[in-house]
Amino acid sequence: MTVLGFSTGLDSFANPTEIGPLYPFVGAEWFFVLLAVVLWLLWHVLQIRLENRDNERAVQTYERIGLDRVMFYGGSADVPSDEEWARREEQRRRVQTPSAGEPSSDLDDPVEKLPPVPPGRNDG
Amino acid sequence: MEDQLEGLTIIFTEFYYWVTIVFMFLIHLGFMMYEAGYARRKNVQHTVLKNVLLIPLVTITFFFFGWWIYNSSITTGPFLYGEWTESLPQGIPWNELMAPNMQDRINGVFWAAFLLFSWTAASIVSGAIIERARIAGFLIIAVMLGSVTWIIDAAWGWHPSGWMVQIMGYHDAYASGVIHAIAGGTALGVLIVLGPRIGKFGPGGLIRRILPHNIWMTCLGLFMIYTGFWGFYVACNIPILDVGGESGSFFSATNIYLMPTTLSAITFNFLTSLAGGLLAGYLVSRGDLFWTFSGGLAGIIAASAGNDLYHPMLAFVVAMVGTSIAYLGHNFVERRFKIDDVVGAVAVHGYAGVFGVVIAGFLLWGYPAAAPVEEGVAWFTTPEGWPAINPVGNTLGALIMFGVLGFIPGYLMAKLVNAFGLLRVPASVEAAGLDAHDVGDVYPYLPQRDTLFEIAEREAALEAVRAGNGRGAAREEVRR
Repeated sequence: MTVLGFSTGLDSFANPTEIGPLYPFVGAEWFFVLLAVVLWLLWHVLQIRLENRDNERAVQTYERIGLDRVMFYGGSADVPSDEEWARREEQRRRVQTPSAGEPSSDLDDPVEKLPPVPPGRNDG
Repeated sequence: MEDQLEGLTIIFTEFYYWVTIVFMFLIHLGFMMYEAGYARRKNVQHTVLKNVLLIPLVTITFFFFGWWIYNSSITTGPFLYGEWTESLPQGIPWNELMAPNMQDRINGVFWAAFLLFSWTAASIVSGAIIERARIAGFLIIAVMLGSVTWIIDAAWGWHPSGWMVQIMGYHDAYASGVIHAIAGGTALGVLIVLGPRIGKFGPGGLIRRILPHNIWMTCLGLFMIYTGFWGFYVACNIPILDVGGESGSFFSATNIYLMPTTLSAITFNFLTSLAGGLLAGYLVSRGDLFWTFSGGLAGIIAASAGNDLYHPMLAFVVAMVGTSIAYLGHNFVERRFKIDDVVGAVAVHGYAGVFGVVIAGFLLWGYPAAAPVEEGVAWFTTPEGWPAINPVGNTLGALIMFGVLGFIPGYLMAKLVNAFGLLRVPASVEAAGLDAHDVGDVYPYLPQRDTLFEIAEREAALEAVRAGNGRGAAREEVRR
């Protein structure tokens, strides 16, 4: 049997009425609290930077590809290519000013009428 | 704990509060569902993230200073009788009692019960500001409300030695004011600075109805909040205390002011006030699903200040009136002041809470508020000289909760975080949807269908961008 000659806190529960703190490193509580306060404040700094960067990238993306394109497709993950967007705009124009003989319901069901959107992210 | 009876009492009390904490978790499950369901599809994930992050931040800050504030000399301040006392050791974050300790079984569960109240206060603000608020700004406001302002009001008006209780006879047994009114007031202050969502208000006084993406999920969330509210009510009581006084030992549950009540009392009244709120919510909203469910919550909140003592049918009537005030107040403020409170939080928590505190002062007029700490300081007393509940104290108390500790700090803090560009997302990000960039659609396999509002909103946003406002403002905001 080996007796361990080191303990970070308690080494016996034989007399529970005399036991107070159960945790190790009694006396260092102030240090744990200080460390946690620093981590808390650091977390806020990092979160603000992260959110600022995300917003800035989003704004730049929307400026580059056009907010209307993003909004129409519900996000920047699958925005249409330039060719696809031009075709779509042309269809919208035709709907707004239908010429004789052309159907006026191209946008009734975009999922049916339009070719699939090219996959892939386009967030700059 | 050297004899079995003492051991049973202490360990039962520890277990009692622990159970309430688990119940109260359901409030936060409910808040998350409630907000997520009410957000539009393009904002759901951001909404969930914003809501859930308040939990860790309020938890650690409540450990750092929230519990300290409650246990500090602020209980007797700011201008009360006698001397300011030393802080009680169990509130100081590096004290041995703020950790696992064989000599104390209550501090941890008590701290946690109050912490769950703190989460609730912060969550109330969260719902009001969804779909355009930044996470960063909201979290700073959540820490202020959850770990500072509400716990100050708890020390002042929700503690048997608090100066509002001892001097004014303030009575608010289940926190109509100390949690709901202050959170509603804070939400209103933040909303004024934050502004409405793009397109919410149109020309000529037009108010557009922005549909939730999943009203069913929102109602389920409200049902969860009702369930968690049981834990909240029970956590506001002390389970076993000798209240016999001069007549000998008599053991009972007490309210938070150590005045006698029973679990049966609050069970009666919780259910009848829920019933009153649901029925009134249905009627005043003409059968609107969301407002029927919100009415249930408003009803409980309206009756909570006096639900330790009301007759169940009195609680029912108070709940009906409070719910009606909340609904009518919400619509009036939205129409008159163009406040875009997405989930009606200011009304359900703020207006119903204020009403609940004020009416309790009338209905419980003359009841003992708490045992006196010092003779002769109370404005109104019972024949035995104890501070007495009264309309003046409760009306002023409601103003302190909603206005002094709720609205003013909320408005000022919102101004401050807004000055650093942390309060609102850029206009183009809001218009595209807070999940639109990087995150993606919350339902990627379901087709989308534009609502009339979304079409109008898109046109308004595109017009703003074409005019150079949207993008310019957005860029400016990000740069700040």
